Amino acid sequence: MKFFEFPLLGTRAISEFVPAHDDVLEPINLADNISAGDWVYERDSVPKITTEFWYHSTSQIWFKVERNTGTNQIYSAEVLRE
Amino acid sequence: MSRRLPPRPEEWIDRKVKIDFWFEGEKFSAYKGDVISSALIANGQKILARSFKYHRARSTVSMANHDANVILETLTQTNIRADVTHPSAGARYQAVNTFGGLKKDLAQILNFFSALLPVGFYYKAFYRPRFLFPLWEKLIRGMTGLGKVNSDTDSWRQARKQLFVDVLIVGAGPSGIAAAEYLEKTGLKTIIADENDRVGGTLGYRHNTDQSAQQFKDATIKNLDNFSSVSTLPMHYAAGLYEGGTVPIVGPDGIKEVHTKALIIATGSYEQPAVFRNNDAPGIILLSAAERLMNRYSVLPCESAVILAGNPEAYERAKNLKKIGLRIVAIIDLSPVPKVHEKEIADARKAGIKVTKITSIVEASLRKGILDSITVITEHNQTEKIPCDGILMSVGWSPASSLLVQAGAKLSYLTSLEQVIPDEIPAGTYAAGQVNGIHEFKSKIDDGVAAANEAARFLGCDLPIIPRPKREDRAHSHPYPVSAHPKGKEFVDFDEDIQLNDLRTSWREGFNSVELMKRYSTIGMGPSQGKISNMNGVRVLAGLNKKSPGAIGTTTPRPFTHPVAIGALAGQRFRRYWRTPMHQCHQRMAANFEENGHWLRPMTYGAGSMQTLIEKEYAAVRDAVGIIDVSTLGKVELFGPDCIKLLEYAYTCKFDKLRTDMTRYIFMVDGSGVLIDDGVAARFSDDHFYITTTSSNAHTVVKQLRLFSDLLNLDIAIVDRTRQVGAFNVAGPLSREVLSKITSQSLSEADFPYLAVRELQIANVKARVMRVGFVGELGYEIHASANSAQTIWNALIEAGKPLGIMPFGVETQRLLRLEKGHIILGQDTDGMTTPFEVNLGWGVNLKKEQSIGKNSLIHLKTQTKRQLVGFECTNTRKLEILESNLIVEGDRILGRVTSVSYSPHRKGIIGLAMIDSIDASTEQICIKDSQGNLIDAQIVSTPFYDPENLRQLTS
Repeated sequence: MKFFEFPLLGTRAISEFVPAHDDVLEPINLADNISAGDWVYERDSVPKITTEFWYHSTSQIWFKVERNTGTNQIYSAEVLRE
Repeated sequence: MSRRLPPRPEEWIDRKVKIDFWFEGEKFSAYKGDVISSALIANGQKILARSFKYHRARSTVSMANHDANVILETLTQTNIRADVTHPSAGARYQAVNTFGGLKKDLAQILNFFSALLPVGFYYKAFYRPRFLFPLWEKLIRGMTGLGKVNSDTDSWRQARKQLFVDVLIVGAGPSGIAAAEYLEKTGLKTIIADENDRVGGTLGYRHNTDQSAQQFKDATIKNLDNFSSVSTLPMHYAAGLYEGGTVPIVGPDGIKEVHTKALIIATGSYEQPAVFRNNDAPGIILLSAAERLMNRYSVLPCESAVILAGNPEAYERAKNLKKIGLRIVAIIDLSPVPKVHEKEIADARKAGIKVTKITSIVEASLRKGILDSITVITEHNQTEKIPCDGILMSVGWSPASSLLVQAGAKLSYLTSLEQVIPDEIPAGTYAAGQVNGIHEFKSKIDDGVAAANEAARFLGCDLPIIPRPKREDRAHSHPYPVSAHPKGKEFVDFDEDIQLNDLRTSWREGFNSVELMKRYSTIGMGPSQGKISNMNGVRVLAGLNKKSPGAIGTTTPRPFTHPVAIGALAGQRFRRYWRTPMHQCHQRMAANFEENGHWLRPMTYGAGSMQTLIEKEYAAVRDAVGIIDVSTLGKVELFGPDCIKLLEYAYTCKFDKLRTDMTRYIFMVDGSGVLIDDGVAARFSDDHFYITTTSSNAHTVVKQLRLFSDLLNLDIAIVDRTRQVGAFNVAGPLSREVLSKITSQSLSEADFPYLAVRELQIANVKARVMRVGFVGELGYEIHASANSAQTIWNALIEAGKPLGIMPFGVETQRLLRLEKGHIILGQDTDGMTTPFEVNLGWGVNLKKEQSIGKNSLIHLKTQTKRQLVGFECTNTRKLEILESNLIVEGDRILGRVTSVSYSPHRKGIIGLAMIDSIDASTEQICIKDSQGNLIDAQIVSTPFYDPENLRQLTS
């Protein structure tokens, strides 16, 4: 069981969270060279440290989490809402 | 012909208790503590099994579940490993994989055709001529498999336990016990687990003549029971290591999931066999199998033993077994390097044992399928045949390192030891003892203590560093215990009947890396997962590639280390049921419940066929009044100045035309423009909204709304009220009449128009009421706090009795809405359906500045290639149209039926179908039913019922 310390919640098993890996806001307009398909589906699938959004299903709070997609190490977590 | 030795105090059997069982139709007697194999061998049974491919006679090899030669089954159990399973009284065991029983196995003939069944033969044969393939498939399927599953067996489950500890020690041999003793002093919460019936490991069968070893054993094993911070768990094996330090340990009563901060692996090694012609014959066993048989069960493995010595310890071990009754005909010495065993050989000869130095083994000879003699080439190049009925092999070791590799360790080949050892083990995991390449007894203890010390310091204990003992410079494994023979049958993998030539063939055909050779030859893929075959395979491949074994590498060990029963994996049943506030009302009215996700929902009410019940409820709703519980809907209250900003981002429509105290239908798409939810939005003011979602997506919609509001930094409060609020629909021409009986407020068309929302006092309870049209009749959706919902429901039932009110369930609702052409998300839509495909384009506003999926919807609007159409079938020829039946046009599949039902209103079958876009002039579609019959249906416009929505007008 993998645990991590989260603000507001304390140490929690990461299985309590639902990830939304790279949900970012819909752009108002796409740049000229990016099609809708590119925007929705094209991903850079290399192991790296990314920022993800994780939802704590019981308290209904979103967190911003820094994770290494190669090693699955979690570096930091903060509440998403400023 | 009993092979049972006279009683010894250290034996594990209790001779006072007899257990009778049957094997292959013959009765056998065991003592309590015996395993099935030891009882069979004690009673003179020679052949215990038939091999997988060639059906050769086999018996045990390791007595430790490192081989899977002896797999038995009963009528109720499969995959019984005879070497480690106690016989049950009265049980009837059969060997698996035989045709006509073990003795007369008809498939033995395959052994003669083995030349036609080389490695990979099934890739190269059977696919031509094509028409014969079904025959081959049937034949091969009939012959494969290791056991039959009896589907009449009662299923069982074993509850799982969760344990949280500081340190888990896997293996209670000398190193593990030494580590446990050390950790007891630190007070760290520790579990030590061992797969055997009793702890001690090699202390019980190898080091038992070593004085210091026995002193250690006597002192510590007794103490284990008295430890306060260390718990001992015999009969539990570690099935694997999962992320976060989770190790499921499997015992007779189920799985204990151990979550540990530090892990010590003291699992020992798998003794390895030698490879020579007929090395798979019954009687040819690992020396440690003989040690276990004789020390634990007091059973002689054979009458005349030949010891194959490929490492120095073979000699001491042989002497120990001679002392307790083994008759040794000769030790054949296969020194990897000349003169490396000189001292041991001299000692053995002094003790009166014949020692012959050999350069290779020619073959083992069999008589009637049983070992008869071994033929060797001596150091003087002479051929010598030695009669024997047992060959005990001591040629080397391979560490039981699965969990270490799963932790992230690498396996490095140490040439000085001629074996792999774990390397680069990540912090928090520690190897100790023989798994770490430590073979000498005193060093095993020191290694266990040092590992425990490292673990304790890792966990923050302030302790001086205890250094690790050094590994010996002397090899304990023979680098190449392989003797080839022109006639073959030198088995490298017993599970899969893989011979030396099979590996050569793999290599020749280009499958020359360790991973390719594994997959092509299937070495290591059998039930023993390569425990006693992988290392020899690596050695052979190294030889073929002219590289060192270290350069070849090893394959990746994955959980489970031993098989785990599905009943243990299932764990205890834990199912949540959510009941609506009206649950008791439904029970009183004889509801037929079904699980919809976690919710228990009434499908229909009363007794009778589904069809009859639906017809009754349908009639009530269309002609009088019905009431349905919709408390399962998601409900969200939104407060704050940014309500509209959030709604316009999350949903496809604009909200400016939604007036105060009115509702509208809303739906949501994801970033790719696919429909994911729908519901109703009610506006109370600019900064107060109330929305509903589908039952199954309530949680997801709230999640998404919160995400959007966080990312957009909106000034809004989102309150999830799904389970605080009960809700139900009262629908039918008489619904207004019923409702007006229990509320004093006006329900006139002027005061409460279609789609309006009002706050009413119903039966003295505050309620929020919306006029909705899902089922196509005059109707009111009433939302009230969960505590008071039942009051309103009961009041409505009471008030509606004289008017014929009936409760209706989910099944009837599906029919009612279908007649109105209303879609159900997830049924009429799939994971790719856009609003444009289901006639919802009117609800999509692409002029909003920013809304989820907008860019995709702009693109998709002109790319719509499918459409949902309504169809009607007046003559089905008594055939049945089901959901997902295909819509076809000649050879082409046009689409599928998404909803279908008999419509009492149209007196025929109606339905919805998602099909490739068709010409506007097309009037007919062709449906293919599940049996392949073709049925014509007419495309009709929806709704099928009340197209002008006249039922919503009240008089």
